[in-house]
Amino acid sequence: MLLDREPPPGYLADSTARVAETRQQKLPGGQGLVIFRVAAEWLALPTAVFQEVVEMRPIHSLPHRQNRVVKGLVAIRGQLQICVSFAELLGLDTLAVSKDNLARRTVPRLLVTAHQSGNAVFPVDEVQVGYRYHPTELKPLPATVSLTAARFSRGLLAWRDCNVGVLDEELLFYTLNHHLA
Amino acid sequence: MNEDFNQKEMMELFRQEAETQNALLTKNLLALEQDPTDVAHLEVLMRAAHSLKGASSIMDLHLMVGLAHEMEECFVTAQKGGIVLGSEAIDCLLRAVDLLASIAQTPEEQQTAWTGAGSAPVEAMMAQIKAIAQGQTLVPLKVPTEMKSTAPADLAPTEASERMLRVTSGSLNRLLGLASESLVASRWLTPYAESLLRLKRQQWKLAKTLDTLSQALSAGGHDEVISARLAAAEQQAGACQRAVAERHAELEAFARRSSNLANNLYREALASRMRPFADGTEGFPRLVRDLARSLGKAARLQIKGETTTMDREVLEKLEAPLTHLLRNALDHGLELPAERQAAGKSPEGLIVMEARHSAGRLIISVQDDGRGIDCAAVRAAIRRRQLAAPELIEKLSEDELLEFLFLPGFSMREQVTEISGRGVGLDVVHNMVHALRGQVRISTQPGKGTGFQLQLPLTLSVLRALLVEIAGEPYALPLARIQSALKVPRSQIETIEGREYISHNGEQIGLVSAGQLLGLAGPAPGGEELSLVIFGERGTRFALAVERFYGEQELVVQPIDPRLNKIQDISAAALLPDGAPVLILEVEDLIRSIEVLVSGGHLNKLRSSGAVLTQRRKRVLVVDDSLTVRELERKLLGNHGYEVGVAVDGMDGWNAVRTQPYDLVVTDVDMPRLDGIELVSLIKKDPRLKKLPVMIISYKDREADRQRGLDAGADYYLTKGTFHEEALLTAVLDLIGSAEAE
Repeated sequence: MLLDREPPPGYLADSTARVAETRQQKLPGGQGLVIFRVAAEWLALPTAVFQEVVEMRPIHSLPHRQNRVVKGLVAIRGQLQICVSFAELLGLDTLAVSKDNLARRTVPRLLVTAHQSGNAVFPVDEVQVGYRYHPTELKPLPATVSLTAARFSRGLLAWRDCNVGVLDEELLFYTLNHHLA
Repeated sequence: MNEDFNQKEMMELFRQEAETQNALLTKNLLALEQDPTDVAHLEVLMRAAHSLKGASSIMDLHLMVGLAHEMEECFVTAQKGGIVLGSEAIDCLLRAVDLLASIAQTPEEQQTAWTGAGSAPVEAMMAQIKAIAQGQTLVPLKVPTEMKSTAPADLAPTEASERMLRVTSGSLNRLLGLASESLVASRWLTPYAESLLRLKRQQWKLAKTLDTLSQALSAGGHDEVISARLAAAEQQAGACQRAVAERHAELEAFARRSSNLANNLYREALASRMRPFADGTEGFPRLVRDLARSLGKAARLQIKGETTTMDREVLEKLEAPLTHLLRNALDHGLELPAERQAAGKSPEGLIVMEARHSAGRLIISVQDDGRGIDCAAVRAAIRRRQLAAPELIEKLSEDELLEFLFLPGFSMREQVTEISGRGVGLDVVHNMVHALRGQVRISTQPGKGTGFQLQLPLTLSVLRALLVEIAGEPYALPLARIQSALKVPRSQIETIEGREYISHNGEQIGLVSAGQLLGLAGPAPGGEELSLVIFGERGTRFALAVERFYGEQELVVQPIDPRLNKIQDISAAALLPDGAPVLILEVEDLIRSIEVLVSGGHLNKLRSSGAVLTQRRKRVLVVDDSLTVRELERKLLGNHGYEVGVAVDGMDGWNAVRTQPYDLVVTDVDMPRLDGIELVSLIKKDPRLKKLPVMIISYKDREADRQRGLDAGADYYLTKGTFHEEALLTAVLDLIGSAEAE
């Protein structure tokens, strides 16, 4: 009964347009991204640098470290890896968000990444499933974006109703490795 | 060279360095032959050649400087991809290494042998290497007779029952990591199976409720429909109970199997790190034969327990101390053939090297049948060097006497020999064995021989440790390194001169808060009782106050990501049985940190009470990857009253300046890990350190190099080519003045 109903007026035309539009957008040369949230910022990294996304677990801090970029060591698949704070590395404001977190009941996760210069694990507040985009979809960064965070982004991507900063993984790991030493 | 320095001593240091660098060259040349494009090997080769060039230039060995220079150029070209070093080129470079070794080993007074006509083979070699660097094909060079290549005859593969495979240690570590993860995962199953029991109990309650309901209903008369429904419900509840019981039993069996499997996997992964003793002893028979011949002695090495297994890391690190013990036995232990015959022994001396397992430890002994150690001579040497009070020396037992042989610089010989009397004597063996968490003992019988016994852990990858909580997180202390752990009521703390002590076994032991020591924020341990871990030796014994004891645990040691560098006070990390990380504390580091903390605090108090401070001397940090250069600069500055610290590369230097106060840094440019320019930039960028003067000493004497150093923020640029002690001293005086702090 339900399925036999007539579609509402304009529905077909609307769907057709939407399907046709999506087709056009998916140009060859697209890139996979994993989108995640750190504090109030939505960020993304190419799927290629991801090993896995795992649940939160104990992070052991390191003595004699004033450097807050390194949060400590965390066990991933039985091996201890360096756990790094995105907020400290990118200079993000973490204070504004705690309320938002409580309201949205999100699940914090650990992003396990691998780069030729070494692995790193990043705690994030929320992870979204993968997303494919084409470099032409990237918008330039508006001047209002804080300078520190902008340094690490290739550009902005419109996703749902937010702007996602697509991080430059080479720059990210380069900076990270300099912070480690 | 300044006559202030003991020329012989410098030459010894130089020789040691040449040996180390030559071994690096040989090893990496051989590795490069396997994989000619590996830039990592080329990098090591380039550095080794560079270091040799620097060291030999200090020693005024111009021929060696030239040869090392050509080699360095050749490696640099290969690094840039200009040439690929094939087998012929490696052959030639290996012969060049032999030549370098020959020059370095030539006693100083005979160095003239390499001048004039003697320099021809070296010059021919230099031309050859230049040709390689230019990518020309090689014309075979006539090899001088004294440099005959080593015959591979005695390297025939030993009969092995199983085929050996080469596996990288990284992949073994990952395997071990996965095995320990699966062990942790399997432990999760048992509690989960137990949680099913709760479900079972709940279902039983449900059945009982249905039962009482059914009784209540039957008492109140019949309703066919309700009775039928109730019976069905009871039946269904029964089915659920049976199903859960079955599943629970299956899950329990599975948990058992899985934990068995995980345990076996884990043990096997650990065992794969073990190697037979024979793998580390291949070179020894040849070494003994060659050395004996050069000393005019006859000796044979017998190796026992070749199948005894040990951790591959232990095996690798044993090579140096065992080589040292063999040299020692040949040089000091065994007599000359005539002497032996006169004593009624076979003219050929016998050295027995044996490896065996005993009570969970690895025991390695090196026993010779030589003259033994003359205890009276040791006593005399102790007296001569005034290492103990005269009345005490007479009372020392034989064991205590022999302990003195492990002291740095303690040598029975007045004359330094090339073979083993290196001024650095058995202390090297002692330190290396200590670093492996082991012990070394000497036993000797006059006329019958001397034996060294090394007691080592079977593996470095498993550690028995005491788990404690510091600042809310778990830490581990190696059991072998601590003396005791105890709980002490707060009331037993005494205060002397503002410092806290406890009395333990009649000894006053200083108290230190672990959180403070490690720079971790957190409340001071509360409660009526303090949990204390006691470690160190008499005089440097301390009690570390932790928040609580978790108990004893066997840990599988994991190295910490090398990108983090050495973390002060931490040796490694591990996983707890629940999969959480734990850091392993390094007791030697802790003791040093405490001493720094204590002396710092002490100074502060003296200052506040207005007492006179002892005159502080200015401190200079010397950063250079060449042992020779480092020692030369250390002695020069030390002789002029400065307190000198050394660092082996830029990273080491960077750690040193951040943790200790210095008035000046003197650094080389080309160094592994972190080069001098980067070190200068780091210092100059650090708000606390930017005022610290830095002097660069480099071979690079082009104006562009000088400018690069000064641009990075260096306060002075001195070239090693024109290296004069006066120039260095003048520069130091210019920068920070004389050694006495004003």
